[in-house]
Amino acid sequence: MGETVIEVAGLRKRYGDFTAVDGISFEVMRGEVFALLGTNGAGKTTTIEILEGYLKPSGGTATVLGHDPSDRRALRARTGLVLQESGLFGELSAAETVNAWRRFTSGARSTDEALDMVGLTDRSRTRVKDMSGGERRKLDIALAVLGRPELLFLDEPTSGLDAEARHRVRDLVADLAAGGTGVLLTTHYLEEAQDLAARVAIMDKGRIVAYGTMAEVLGRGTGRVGFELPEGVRPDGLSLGLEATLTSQGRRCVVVTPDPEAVAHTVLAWAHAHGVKITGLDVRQATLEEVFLDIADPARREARQ
Amino acid sequence: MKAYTLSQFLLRQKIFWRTPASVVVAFGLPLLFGGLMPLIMPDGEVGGATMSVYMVTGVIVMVVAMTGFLNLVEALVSRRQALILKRLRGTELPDLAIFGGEILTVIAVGLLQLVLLIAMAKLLHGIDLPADPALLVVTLIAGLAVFAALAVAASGRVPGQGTTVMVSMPVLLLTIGFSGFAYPVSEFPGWLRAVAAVLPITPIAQGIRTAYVGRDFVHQTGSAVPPEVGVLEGFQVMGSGWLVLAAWLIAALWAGKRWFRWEPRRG
Repeated sequence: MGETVIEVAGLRKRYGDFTAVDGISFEVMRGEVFALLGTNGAGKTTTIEILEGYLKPSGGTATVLGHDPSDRRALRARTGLVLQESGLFGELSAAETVNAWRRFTSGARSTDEALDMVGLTDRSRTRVKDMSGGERRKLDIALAVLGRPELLFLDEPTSGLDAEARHRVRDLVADLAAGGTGVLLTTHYLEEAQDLAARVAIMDKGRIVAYGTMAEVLGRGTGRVGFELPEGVRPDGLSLGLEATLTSQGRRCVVVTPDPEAVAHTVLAWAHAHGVKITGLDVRQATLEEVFLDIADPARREARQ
Repeated sequence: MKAYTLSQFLLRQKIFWRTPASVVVAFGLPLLFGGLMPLIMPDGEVGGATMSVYMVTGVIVMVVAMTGFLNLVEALVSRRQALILKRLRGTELPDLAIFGGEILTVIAVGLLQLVLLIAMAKLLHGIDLPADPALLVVTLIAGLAVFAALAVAASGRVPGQGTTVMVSMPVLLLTIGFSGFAYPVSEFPGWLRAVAAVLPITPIAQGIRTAYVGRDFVHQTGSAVPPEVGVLEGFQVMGSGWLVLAAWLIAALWAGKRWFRWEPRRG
């Protein structure tokens, strides 16, 4: 693998009795989009704000582009960031805001280019206070990428954006990563992480509960095998092994398993041996959303099916 | 660093002139006071200065407190609560440049207010131009710097935008009380003069009045007409006044380091 832009080892953050981040470790590579997923309160924003230098960790180590994250002087010209929530000057237009930012941003793109990247060209003369939440978000992203950062922090960058704007931001992030920028992303749009991120860490209650390439996380997470039995037939005697869980609701059965292909074979063999006709068979990998929900709240797995 | 401070100053300037409320407060009130007060006051002299001069110099002192403290507290608190300060800290701007831009704006606005007040005093009320412009400008800038530093510190103790009045009201009242605007400090009873002597507003008021009239208002007692002072003498008679201002500046910077907050206070 390439050069790391972020290294986190045993990172902790405590607020009094509350542990927001509880000993997490991960790495982000140059040119990679790394997604940090989790429910609200999982510790994603605390983690990203430690790496941005806003918060001091209570323990563990974090290195950003070879520096301590609190070394703002060394890092700010090389990093760009979009906070989960932030404010801009309402009295300035989009173009004036970018112009003002260009004065203190090294190697800044032109104002036209920056606005064009996020699709705000036709709103360049609109004052920030007259913009929609989505437009402000786009402007914030334009400011984050203004200085061609080596590393980009995006804390839920597409929240509040409509579908088209989300696609644009997705394409923009993919382009930047292809150009060598490392991206640390948190998002609630799981398909977005699935589309963009090569690797992912899923956080729950301050810990990383799943970490690896998308394929690894999806593989380790549970696959799904669904099928329907004829009226009145029970799946008795269907032995699926310890790792698979079968739930049924009326005629519909769903098996949650790390190895859906093997389970499908077992189900078909059972049906054949018992002379049962199976319909509506579907075999697939779990989506990230399903993995995420399973980890965030295992109890919901049953309820959902 | 200089370039960063300059860019932040330019940004702040643009915002200032774009915000009608800040322009009206900064120029409307002083011009109103400076324009009207001398007209409605009876003629006469207060301790060696005409009533009009007393009023105009009093308004200049108020300008120091309002521009240096009230406006800056409001600007800092509102930007902190709106997460603008946090966003600015995510850029290359060093913390000191963010403060520098604010303080340069305060000084620029204060100097502009001073020029307008002097022009109005001359044209509207026929008051002589300041006798010691150097002392006037130095006192004004020193006063603005002290109040701006106090504003930085105080903003950290203000929970939200609706509560800036908590710190701005006492400062405004102390300023009116001790600037000589309402009542000549030289005629205060002894114990109150002792209190006045350690407040930052007192040397500012003395310096501005001394510079404007060219007489020693620092050592004035009662309503006696103070002796005339020359340009350099003006700086000398301020004497311990400079030390009082320096002490407040250091205390304010220390408090600001402890109290100032970049991120919103909740609740």
